[in-house]
Amino acid sequence: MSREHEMQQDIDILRLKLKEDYDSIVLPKNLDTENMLKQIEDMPQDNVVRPNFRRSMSAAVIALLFITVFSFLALPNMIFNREKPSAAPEAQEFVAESISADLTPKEKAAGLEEEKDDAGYKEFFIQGNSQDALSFPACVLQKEPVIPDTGEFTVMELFPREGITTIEIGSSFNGATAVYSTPEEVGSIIEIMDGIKITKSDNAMSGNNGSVTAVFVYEDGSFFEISINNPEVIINLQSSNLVIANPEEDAAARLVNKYKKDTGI
Amino acid sequence: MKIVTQDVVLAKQGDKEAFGRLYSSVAEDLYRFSLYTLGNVQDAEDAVSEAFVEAWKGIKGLRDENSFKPWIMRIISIRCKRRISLYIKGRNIDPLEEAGEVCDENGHHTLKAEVMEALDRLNVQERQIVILSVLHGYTIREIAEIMSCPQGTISSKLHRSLKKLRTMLE
Repeated sequence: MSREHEMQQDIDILRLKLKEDYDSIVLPKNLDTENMLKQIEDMPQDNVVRPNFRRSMSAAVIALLFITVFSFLALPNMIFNREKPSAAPEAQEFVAESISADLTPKEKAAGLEEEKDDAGYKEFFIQGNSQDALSFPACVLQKEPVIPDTGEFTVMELFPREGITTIEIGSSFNGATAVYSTPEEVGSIIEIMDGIKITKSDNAMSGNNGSVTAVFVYEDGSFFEISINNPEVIINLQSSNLVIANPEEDAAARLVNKYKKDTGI
Repeated sequence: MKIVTQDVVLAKQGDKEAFGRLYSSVAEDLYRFSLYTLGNVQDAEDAVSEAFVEAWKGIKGLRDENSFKPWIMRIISIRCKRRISLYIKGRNIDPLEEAGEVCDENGHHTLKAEVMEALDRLNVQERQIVILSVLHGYTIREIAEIMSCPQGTISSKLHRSLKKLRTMLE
């Protein structure tokens, strides 16, 4: 039975069990339109703008405060060490180095550390805090899109951190039928990541064209999910709202290709 | 009840009567959704009331007049989540745990009780996705819009939640 059929069957069964009860819930009198309108009778319509404006102002003040504090902290460095480049690339480099420094022995053995620098990982633009970045598993995507019914597939190579026991990989086209990596491809990844179970995913699926979703399952059963969309190569780490966008798409593809060549995959 | 786009246009211009009509068309859905998400009448009423005021304040900023319902469902969804986090912070329990057991006259668990207990074991987001899909009949795309999540995430979470429910109810 396909995933869609299975879901629809579950939905129908649950609906049968709950719908009658759900539909019998009656709106309490105090929530009827007449009573609710009383709440806004004295409320002027220009209130519509003010809260947003206040929020914007608060955000602006916080941003200004942050910039001031940051400038103050950076001032001695700017005075005594003028040859340093601007703060932004330094911050990016710091995060990239954090990722690189946190490679597992298996990743290091696979030559990833060296590869990452060459492949432009330092150019990753990372929104989020460095703590999030440290927990981010190394992940590479080849840029060919998923094309259903042609045997072509998107290859995603994953180098998980310690503690991850299962990776579920899935991809989709137009949000309809899931197209998975071939068993051979998945099998080769199992060889690289000894001890980690790679499964064709029933859970991982994405609705965007040519996108790939991976669900990382940890030993304790917790998981997080990332979606990678071609061709932008945007990695969206759902569990922590961390968004990593790699503007250097070719760098990721280069890394995959070199890795595949080196390992003979 | 059908939402009249003209009422949305009027409400955006500050017409309270039009906003009242819009509210009437979604009030039951808002309340049922809150009640099933939060598990108690008081919190559900408060969430609807807050969502109503928030919607009135924010409707001027609604860009697409045709998306009033997903928009207000998103507001109630966020309100429910906030209430639950406040509740958990304050009392360290899930409100559904306090909703009480549902038994028939012989003291046996009813079918509804079993399903409610199973729903209770999902997290808030999973519960909301299931309610929107199963009881409101929203599509994955619509739920993604309401929950401000990618469709793929909603799809996988719905699938996972249904699978969990199926296992629990077996």
